[in-house]
Amino acid sequence: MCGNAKKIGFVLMLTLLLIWPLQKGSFAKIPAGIPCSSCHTMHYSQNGGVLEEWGKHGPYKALVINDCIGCHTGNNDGTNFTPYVTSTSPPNYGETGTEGNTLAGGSFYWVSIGEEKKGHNVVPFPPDSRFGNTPPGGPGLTSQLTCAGTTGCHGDRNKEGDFEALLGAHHADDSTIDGQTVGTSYRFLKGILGYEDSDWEYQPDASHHNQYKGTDRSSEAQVNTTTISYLCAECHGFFHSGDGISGQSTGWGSPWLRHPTDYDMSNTASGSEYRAYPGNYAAPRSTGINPYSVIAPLGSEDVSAPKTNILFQGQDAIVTCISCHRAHGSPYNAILRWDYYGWPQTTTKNGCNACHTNKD
Amino acid sequence: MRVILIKINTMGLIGLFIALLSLHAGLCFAGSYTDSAHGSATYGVKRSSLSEYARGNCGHCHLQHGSLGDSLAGPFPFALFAENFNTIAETAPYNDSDNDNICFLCHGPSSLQQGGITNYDYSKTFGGDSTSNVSSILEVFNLKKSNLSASYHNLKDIYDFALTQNWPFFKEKSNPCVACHNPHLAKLIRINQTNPAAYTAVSLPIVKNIGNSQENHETLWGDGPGETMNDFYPNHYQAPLYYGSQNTYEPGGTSDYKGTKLPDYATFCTACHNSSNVIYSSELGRTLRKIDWYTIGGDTVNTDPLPDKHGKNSATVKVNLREPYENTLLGINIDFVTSCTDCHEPHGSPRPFLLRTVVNGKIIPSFNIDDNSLGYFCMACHKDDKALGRATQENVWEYVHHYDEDAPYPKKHGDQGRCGWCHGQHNRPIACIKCHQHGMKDTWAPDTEESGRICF
Repeated sequence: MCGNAKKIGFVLMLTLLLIWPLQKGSFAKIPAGIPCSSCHTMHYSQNGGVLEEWGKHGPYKALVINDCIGCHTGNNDGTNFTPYVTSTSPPNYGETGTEGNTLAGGSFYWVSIGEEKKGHNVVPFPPDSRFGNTPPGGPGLTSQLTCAGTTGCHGDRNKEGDFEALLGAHHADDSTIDGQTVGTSYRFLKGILGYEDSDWEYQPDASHHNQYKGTDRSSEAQVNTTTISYLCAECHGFFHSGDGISGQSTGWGSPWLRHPTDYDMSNTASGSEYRAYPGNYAAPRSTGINPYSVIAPLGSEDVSAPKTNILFQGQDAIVTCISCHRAHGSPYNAILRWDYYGWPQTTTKNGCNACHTNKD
Repeated sequence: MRVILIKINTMGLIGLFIALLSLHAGLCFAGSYTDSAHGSATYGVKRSSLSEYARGNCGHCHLQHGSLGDSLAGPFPFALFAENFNTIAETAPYNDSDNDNICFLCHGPSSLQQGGITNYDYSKTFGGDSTSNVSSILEVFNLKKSNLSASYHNLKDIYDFALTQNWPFFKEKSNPCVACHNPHLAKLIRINQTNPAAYTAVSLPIVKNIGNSQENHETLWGDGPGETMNDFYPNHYQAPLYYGSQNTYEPGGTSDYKGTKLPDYATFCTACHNSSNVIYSSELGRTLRKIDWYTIGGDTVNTDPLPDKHGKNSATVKVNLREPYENTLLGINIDFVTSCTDCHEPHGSPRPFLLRTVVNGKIIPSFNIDDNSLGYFCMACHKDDKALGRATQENVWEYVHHYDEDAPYPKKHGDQGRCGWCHGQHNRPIACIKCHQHGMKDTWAPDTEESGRICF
């Protein structure tokens, strides 16, 4: 009996260890149980050749089978363990990127086919023909935008090269997102905090979504280096951190010179249109007053869990850059989350109205 | 009783449940921007240079990042594409090239709007004709460029006054046009001449409760119940005639004679021009006369300011009015109320005091404000001696003032020497505005001659 009990206990423990990492909120970025060969190859050779699923420009650093874009190209279906950020065929974005098969960052698909206004122009896609390597609102980069590295968004920007900047991050224990390392930063965006939805917002709803880090600023000069908007500002500075955001001679508030970010709408008057957030854009399966919107998401200072409702009691109604934009790409100009340019002629969906509720 | 009570409660609960369900189903945050003149997908804002943005899109006025493409012009307050209002522009003429006022960049002769915008003055748009010959808002503000008698609603004065009012919507960087218009709500009134109430372009700068609803700058004024001239003083507003017509009326020349489709401009204008506000006019170099459009009581009232008889106050005996007032279907012969727009232009006029060029269906010839030629303006509604069959010349008012049954200064035999007390040595006509201005009695007259009547 004692021996059987030990065996049963051992099997149960083994099972738990195998299954646990696959559950939502899993520890490591690469789930346990995934064979190493899914990502790595020892010799970039198999039976004297290169496998069909490998990249064709190897060998690659870190013995991986492809580069960033190569590994992250595919069609999301809600079960894939690799988040696909682009695809070789048009993804199903829908009107707002929340009901099809794209993820929180959107997709590089459109920029990959030459529609340069619809995505961040990362290598290997062509640089922007109009702006070159100068991000609007910021100084020029030393070279074209990359996924990671000195001119990238992900990883350690003190290190040159995608692989060097991300080294080890995919295997890091990220049970706590503290921003201390690349692996423990929100989506490997070094220093940035946030709550990571386990399926990267594949068809998100009120209780399943990323929770973006924001801060309730009280001045233009105030900087919180852990917010998602700060990440954007590292390249697009004027749009977030410049001294031309608020038109007030002193203080921080309307009239805005530029659309504010890291601004908490809890600071608006109690009867203002902003207090009716999200207007007609409540997330699926939402309940109650002021439900979260996955179409025009708001950030918060507390990112320990996804917010289902915005309480407007401070620090949870924060406008972020990605309240309006997708990080990677979208079918719309300026990487907007919805067809802003077409509204109100060609579409009635305008996420601006999630906050500007009187302008619907 | 108990059973019935329980039934009522149960029914009530069911009703409440159904009502809540209905409320939930109908919960919709429909703003009014896309119904507005600027937000319409059919005729809304569309700058010629911005082909990528749909008509009506916010981007035609607002640059979210204070830049457009690789141009980093600005940024400007409210993320506008140009300076909202240049406070250095203290008087007209206003310039569109110098960005005195962002509104004029589209509402001017060199409009940025695709196809331009035609805005005639009130007289032409709602009255049927005008002699001002303007086709844009900027031009009407700038009439003084070619006509020294012209007048306009000075924008810096409005700006300065608005700042003193602590209206929540008006800030240091606001545009004075916003004091009257909410650009996200204002409708395309100019092509809806026959029903401007339903397509009103104004919003109250103050809060006013109408029934159970609250009107303020975030709502349109004129489009709801209780917001028309007929509502201001029911069955006391007789609409003036439409230009050239004897049986159709303003606005737009319809058979509606009661102002049921005219926004209540009396309430609207007196939100500022009322009996308490002190408003400085840099054009006149003085504060404006206060206006009481509400108090009744005829000549017995002695408040400061005196209540206007063109408002709810009334003549006490009679008044010699032309059609359509003389035989109005309202069934009254005194005690009319007028809309400010019956006499005044909202933006500017070639005449002084923003007085209209067409009133009560008639073109008003030029007049001077400081002599009796102003009488030509009054004649549009009031009968002069010629109209009463007492003189052969127009603009003679002797019978009305001295011989009519209700004449305030009745002439008596042997009075000849007395005329000069008012008319001077050469017995000249008296300038109308000596007595006839908002809130005035005839205190100008010598003490012995004063009638004590309220004269406006």
